[in-house]
Amino acid sequence: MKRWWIIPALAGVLVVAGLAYWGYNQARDKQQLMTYINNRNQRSFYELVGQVENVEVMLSKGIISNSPRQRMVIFADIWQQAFSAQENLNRIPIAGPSVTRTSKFLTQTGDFAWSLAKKYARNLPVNQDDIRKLNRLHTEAGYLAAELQKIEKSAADGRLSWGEVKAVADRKLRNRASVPGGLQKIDKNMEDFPTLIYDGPFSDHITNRAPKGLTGDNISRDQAASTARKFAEAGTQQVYRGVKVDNVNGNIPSFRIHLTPQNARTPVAVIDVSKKGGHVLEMLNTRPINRAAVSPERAVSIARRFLADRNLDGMEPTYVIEQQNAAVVIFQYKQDGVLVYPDMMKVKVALDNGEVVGFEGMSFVMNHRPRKLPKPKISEREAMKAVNPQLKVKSKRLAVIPLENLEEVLAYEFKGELNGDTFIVYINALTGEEEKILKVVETNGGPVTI
Amino acid sequence: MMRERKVIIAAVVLTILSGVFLYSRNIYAQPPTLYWGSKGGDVSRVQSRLKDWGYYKGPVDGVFGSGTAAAVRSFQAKNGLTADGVVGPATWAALGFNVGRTAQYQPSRGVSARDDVYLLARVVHGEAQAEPYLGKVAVAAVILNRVESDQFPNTLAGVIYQPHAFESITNGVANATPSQEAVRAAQDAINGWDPTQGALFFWNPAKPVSKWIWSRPIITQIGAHVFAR
Repeated sequence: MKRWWIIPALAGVLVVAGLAYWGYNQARDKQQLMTYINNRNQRSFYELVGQVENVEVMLSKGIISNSPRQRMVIFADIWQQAFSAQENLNRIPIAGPSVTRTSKFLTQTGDFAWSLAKKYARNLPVNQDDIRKLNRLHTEAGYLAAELQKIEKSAADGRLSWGEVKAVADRKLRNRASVPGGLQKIDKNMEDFPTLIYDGPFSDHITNRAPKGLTGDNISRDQAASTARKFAEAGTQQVYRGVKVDNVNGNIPSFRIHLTPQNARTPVAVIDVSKKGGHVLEMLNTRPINRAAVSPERAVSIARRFLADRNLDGMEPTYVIEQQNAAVVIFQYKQDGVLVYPDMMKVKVALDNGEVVGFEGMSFVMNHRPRKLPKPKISEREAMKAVNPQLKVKSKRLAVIPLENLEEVLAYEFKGELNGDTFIVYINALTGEEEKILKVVETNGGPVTI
Repeated sequence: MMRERKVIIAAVVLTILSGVFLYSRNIYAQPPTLYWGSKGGDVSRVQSRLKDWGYYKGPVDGVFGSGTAAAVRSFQAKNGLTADGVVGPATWAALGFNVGRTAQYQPSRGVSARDDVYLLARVVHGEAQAEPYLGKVAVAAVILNRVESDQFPNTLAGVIYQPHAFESITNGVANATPSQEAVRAAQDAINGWDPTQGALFFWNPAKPVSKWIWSRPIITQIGAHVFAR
């Protein structure tokens, strides 16, 4: 008796298996495609947010600037940023009146900025009305940035699909007056991180340059370990032992020493010491930080003492960033009473018990050298005349600042306020030209300025 | 009639000009509340607007009298406002004058670096979840170094979402909420700590990677990751 049903059954099983395999592949492909598309949307969206923020910041700089030369550059930048923002906006699968309106705003801002840049380039007069328009555009840009960020916060943690984002965006951007409150499911963790954009060039990730402050003779591994131990121990009761040494073959070849406190097992501090000269480039204590109990003001004096205990002299604290239960105190070198911005050190203080948990001396070693500072050719008073009179100047001093091309200039630094926003304006002390405008942007806690 | 028109235009122009002046001297200027007995350019603005819209029949003389008050009340009643004959912020707005959107310098809003931290932390979490703290800071630093580098896109989002740049982005793992440690590490990197001294690449030598990547000059190893320029 032949089992006649075997062949059809086998065929059936094969068909089902084939279908399942095909279906699985289809589903997987679809999933991959979805992720890919989602990533592209996210990229465009994040870039859009960043560019709108840039437009906002630069509009305010354009308003506060008092120099046609500087304004020309700022407005050209705004045009470029607004253009890119528009591109990104139109890549995102949101449609409807909100997009049309935003798109129009970006185009207008870009066109207007470009027309102003051309006016300045041709020495044509820019009147009060233009400035009034700038003020309006600035307000509008701020509104747009804030709304985009609300959408972003909901979308960023993956709880909101792009379809929902579309609905939200339509609702929010069309009707300015009503901002529904129910949507801001911001991750509670994120609420507590005051941060600051100090969009200056005095930042760090400058690589592939020859370090200027790398002086001294080559040191051995053991010497480096003892340097690291002394650096960690100075001014404290703690005794450390080195547990491991790695090599770092970066821009400044160095030893990385892992330190553990006596009678503890896991390494907590990692210190990088340059092979040439034995300079401490970086220290990072990797322990978690508990609830803050130390004030940022006290953190500044702790940081000061930390540097003094290690014979790092001549450093002046300039500002503090407080975030995640830690305070990062930024120090600048002071030569003959002039603040030298490129020569920077940072000290991170844990606000739970006031222990120093981080040190950054890379920028200092990259830039520091004995400088011959020129004498100012114009007085502080004359320089002040070049500052927009609307800015309520709160403090002034002489400083050496780096330009984009890493050239350094001596400038008067005027720090002031306009309607609650803080700006820092630099006027070249030799030529009287406005060299740079910085805007301090902060969220809740913000920086404690010294 | 023609003459009156000219006066109105002159009044309006004057108002605008004085507005510019006021603006340039006093950046806090807000449209004032107007009521019976008020005088001045602001009253003229209201009168001419009410006249244009057919609520007011009297002269635009800058004096808030009974005629103006009656016009304001009827305008308010028609527009769902309290008919009290007082021009406050709501009535100003209903008359089409920008109250909240005056052409004055408004302090910044909505700009913060917080979102950068969060975005960065998500990738750090996705790429280096099992790594020691230093390894997390290092991964964050590599991403920031790429933003600075001319070989990569110029924005943080551009670098992170560059196709096939980061596995956790390609497979969607990086959409998870980052750990506190990842956020701290991202923050340290943004504040300038870079344990990789300018690395642009990292990979796990235990996993299969393209041969090409081994041709990059290696800077150091942290945890399970090799970092290279």
